Amino acid sequence: MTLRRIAAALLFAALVLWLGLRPTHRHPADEADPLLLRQEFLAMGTQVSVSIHLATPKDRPAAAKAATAVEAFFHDFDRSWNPWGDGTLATLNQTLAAGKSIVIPSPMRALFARAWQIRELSGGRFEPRIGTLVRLWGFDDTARLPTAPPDRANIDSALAALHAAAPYDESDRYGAAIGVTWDFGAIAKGAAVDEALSRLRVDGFTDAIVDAGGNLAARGRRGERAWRIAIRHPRAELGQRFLATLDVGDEAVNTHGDYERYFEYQGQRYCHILDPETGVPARGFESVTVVHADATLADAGGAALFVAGPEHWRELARRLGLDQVVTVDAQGQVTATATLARRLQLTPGITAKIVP
Amino acid sequence: MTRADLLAIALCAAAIGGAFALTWSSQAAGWVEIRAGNALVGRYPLDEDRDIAVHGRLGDSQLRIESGRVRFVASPCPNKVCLHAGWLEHSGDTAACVPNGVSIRLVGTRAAAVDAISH
Amino acid sequence: MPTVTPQDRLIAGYAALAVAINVIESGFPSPLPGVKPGLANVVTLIVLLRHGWRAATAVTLLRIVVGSLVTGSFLAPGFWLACAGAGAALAALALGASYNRIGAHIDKRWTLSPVGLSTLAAQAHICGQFALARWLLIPHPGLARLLPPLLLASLIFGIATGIATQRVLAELALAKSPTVKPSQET
Repeated sequence: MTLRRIAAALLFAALVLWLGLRPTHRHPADEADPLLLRQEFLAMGTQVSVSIHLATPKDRPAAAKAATAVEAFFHDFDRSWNPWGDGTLATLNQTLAAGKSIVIPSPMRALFARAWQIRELSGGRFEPRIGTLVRLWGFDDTARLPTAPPDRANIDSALAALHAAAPYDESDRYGAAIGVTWDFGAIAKGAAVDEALSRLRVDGFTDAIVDAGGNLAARGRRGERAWRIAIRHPRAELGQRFLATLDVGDEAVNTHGDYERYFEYQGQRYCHILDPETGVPARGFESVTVVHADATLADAGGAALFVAGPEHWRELARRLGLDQVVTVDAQGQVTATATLARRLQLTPGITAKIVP
Repeated sequence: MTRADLLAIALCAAAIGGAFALTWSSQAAGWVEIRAGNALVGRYPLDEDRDIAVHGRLGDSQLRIESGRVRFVASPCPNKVCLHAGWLEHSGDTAACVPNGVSIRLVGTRAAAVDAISH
Repeated sequence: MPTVTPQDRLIAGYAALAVAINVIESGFPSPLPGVKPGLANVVTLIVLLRHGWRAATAVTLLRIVVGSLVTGSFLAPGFWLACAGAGAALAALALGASYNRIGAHIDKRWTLSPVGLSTLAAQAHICGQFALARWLLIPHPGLARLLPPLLLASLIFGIATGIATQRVLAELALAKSPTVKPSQET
């Protein structure tokens, strides 16, 4: 009798062990998932990744074609909107530099106008005409970072030209404005990502993520579950990889940080996000993340919040219509808006201050 | 043994099975995929240490696989941003030498916990 | 002058037995220092079933304090681990006993025998110890991997000691009433 009981107990143990050690089939690895297509390429100076959830594995070839079309779009977009070189915007900038006024091509007017609207709403903290300063600091070339700040005199004269420049009336003409270089670096990736997702939708793919170097937006779901996004910790090298994760629907998650494009000089970190008021890199934040349905606004708005700094960002966010923001200040303090805090899953060990 | 006993034991056994599944699934990555000029040029397992040279636009980027992790150790770019990315070890981790056109991505045997990282 | 009642002697006797088991058990190696299978819980269970909850608590407390004094680990982490384990086990036994009281009215077959009680107590014992170890002593996330094997081991131990308890209780019942014929081996 006892022997039978022991045998039964051992059988139970074996059953339990077997149950526990079976591979979990519910969530296959991305590479093994027949319902996920992921294509990656380099464009706009960064790694772009397109993830498409397939309704059936048979859709894979069509999805690959759609992703390749997105890649082509990104290359075209990059050529059009690069402030330097020989693309459309670069030519406009050269015309301005020569002292002439420019005619903005109609396909570009929408983004010009949108950028200007955000500029006005943000009190100039997001400034699309900041290209001259960006080049002065050396942040215009992803292949080459500077090692020291430019001369104060040069910064001042670039600032003067920017502040004296004529405003944009959202028409098809601008200028003359010497010293103005239109640079959409803080808004282009957001705009591109939303446009790419629209194109995927037209091709019939409504469950996707387009991620341009960490500026990403999602549509739909990954099958049974929502798309899951992590926000990188601004000082990941110190131990924590992620700040937080969250499930997203049709929305963008856009992060501006001081930890990817920067140089250090005499113990100070100079990051690539310039303050259009002072002409020097913004201080006060290690990262700012914005969640919003509009990726263009999330991008440009996030940049403006980064410039606004820990004292003024909340007020500016309200004015811009951004109510889902999480910031990490220079001391490592995490602050999140209440709306975002409700859905944000902070990494254990990280506490956030919540502001209304 | 009563029926209640058997139920209690069965419930405990089920809970233990679940506990195993929860705590013993690893998130470690299995392979690194290497791309040069957007074409896949290599796929190497992470369980074998090795050094890999990847030919890019500017020259050869050097990668090292060691103890289940991988990183750029040398690259012909001027700013070495790719080197500063450090060791990659989790499924989904990526790094790129943009000037040289070389990028790497870790792919794993288990599901990555997230679909994308905002940074 | 306080007199020593028969109840006191009973508690003391059981406690001594439990301490002895504890001391022997402390010699066993364990993957997590201080986390033990909890064999002394057999004594707790027997006392609970024969003499009630208060007596069981008294025996357990005595066992932990005296046991730690004997092994020189009083107030050491091992002591607190033992407290956590015993506390959790007692709670589980209390719940089990309450369930039995209710269940007995409904259907006799659905009461927990010493086997079930012992299993639940053993599992609770490990959980209590692990909780203390994980959150206060070794706050390392990797520790979680040790829990399932520990639970599995204690499940087996719990069933085994439950069976042993049943046998002991049967013998004690026989010993109490010597006029009853010894039952056949089942």
